Amino acid sequence: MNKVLGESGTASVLLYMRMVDDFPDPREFNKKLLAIFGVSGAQSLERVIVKDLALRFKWSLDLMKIEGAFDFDATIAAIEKSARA
Amino acid sequence: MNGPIRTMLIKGLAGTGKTTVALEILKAAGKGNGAYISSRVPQELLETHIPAMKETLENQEFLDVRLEDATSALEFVMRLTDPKKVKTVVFDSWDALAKEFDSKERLRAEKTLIAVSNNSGAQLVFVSEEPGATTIDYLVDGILEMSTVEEQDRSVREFTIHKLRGTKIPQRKYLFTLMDGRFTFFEPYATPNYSEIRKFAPVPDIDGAYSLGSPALDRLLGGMVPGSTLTVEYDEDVPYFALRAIELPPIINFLAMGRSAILLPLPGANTGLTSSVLTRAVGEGTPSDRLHILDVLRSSDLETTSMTKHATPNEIHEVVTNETTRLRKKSVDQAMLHVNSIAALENLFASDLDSLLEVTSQEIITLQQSRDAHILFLPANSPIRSRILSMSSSHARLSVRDGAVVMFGVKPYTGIYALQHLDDPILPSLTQLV
Repeated sequence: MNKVLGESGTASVLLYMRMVDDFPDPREFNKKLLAIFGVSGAQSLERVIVKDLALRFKWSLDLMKIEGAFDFDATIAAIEKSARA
Repeated sequence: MNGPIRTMLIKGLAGTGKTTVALEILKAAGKGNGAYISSRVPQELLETHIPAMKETLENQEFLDVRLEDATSALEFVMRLTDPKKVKTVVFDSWDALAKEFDSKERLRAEKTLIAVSNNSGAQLVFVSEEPGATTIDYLVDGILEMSTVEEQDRSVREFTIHKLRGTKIPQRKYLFTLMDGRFTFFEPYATPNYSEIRKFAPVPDIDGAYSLGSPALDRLLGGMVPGSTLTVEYDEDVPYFALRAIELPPIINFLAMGRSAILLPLPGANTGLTSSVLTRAVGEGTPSDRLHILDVLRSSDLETTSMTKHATPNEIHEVVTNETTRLRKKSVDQAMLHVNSIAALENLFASDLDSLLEVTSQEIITLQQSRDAHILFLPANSPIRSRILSMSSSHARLSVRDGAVVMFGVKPYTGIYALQHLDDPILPSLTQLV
């Protein structure tokens, strides 16, 4: 999120969402992002987050279907399944 | 700010009126619908600086972030806008916080703010003292730049619309004033609607001086002392109707007070319209009885005085003298008003300006020894300008800036005012430009 919102922007969003301590629950995180940025803004941010995670953990980009319409819940589910495997 | 304009940048140097404009936008949002985030001054001090906006500040949320960091300030905006609590948020000034960032971080913070406000539907107003283009210039929907400019040796306030996305901009620059702590801007001069003329109420003399027939003109110039000459100098782009707003009230007042007047109208004047306006303002019968309109550029007018189109300045002077003698007898106290257009006389005697100047000098000297008053309308580019001004007791100047007509006194020295017709088609309204 830093890459898009900057350090201050990210910090203020996380502070406002009360999600500064632990890795947040993705669904709760998605809900709060939607409230702040709307569908389009939240999707853009989530896409950036997932892309960054994919690069860090060397996940398959194909698996996350990052092209086309982005479904955060489906992507998270796919990542969880892949991680368990 | 409505329709497509959701984010606005108001920029300009210190003291140019940015905060007052931002507060006007906040006021327009309605009670309880706005928030003011201040990184410069506390609420009490701001209320002292702009007393007219005290109520607005009290009616809206005020957040003092002088000692907060940028993160907290951004979080405040999210809190204010997320539950759709407020419609308008003013950030005064954004620079004070943005200067904490490097350029990339600043751009990201600005994009965050705009994305948040876009989603909530709130309007965001950024106030900035950075004159050059910064990152936020590219992000906001509208940019207003406030400035102070020179107009004929007087300072006036002007704003420039640099950008208003999705909105037609018919004019980019406007004059404005902060009179009484409120933002008022001036549209281009609009001609008065003479169909709304009311019966004129005479204005009595002021401490031995003749009234100019308009409280606004009297406040500006202090009336006309008997024997004095007031010269009204004007630029070539000053609309004719604006000059008429200075020309007609003194004539109407002289007639309404039972005195007489002679008018040598401006080039292009419609004598029929002038007579009609005077009749409606003063009452039937009076204009022709105690007023002579001599249009020196119309052959028919010259013929009625037995002059030809080849009349000399001396011949015109003789006619005026004879008419003065005739009309003086009809004046309640023998006082008369002479209103002359130098441009009309210059047009007639273009090849003999020396004679014109000589006759005008004689007329001014003669009038100085009488109880009459004299008003000269002088084009700013007149070849005899300096000579006329040197003989004038007082000197007012009219010019046009951003389409608005402005007026000020050179002698005596006065502030500068915007001339409009607000309440009455005959009497001018003068609003000081401060």
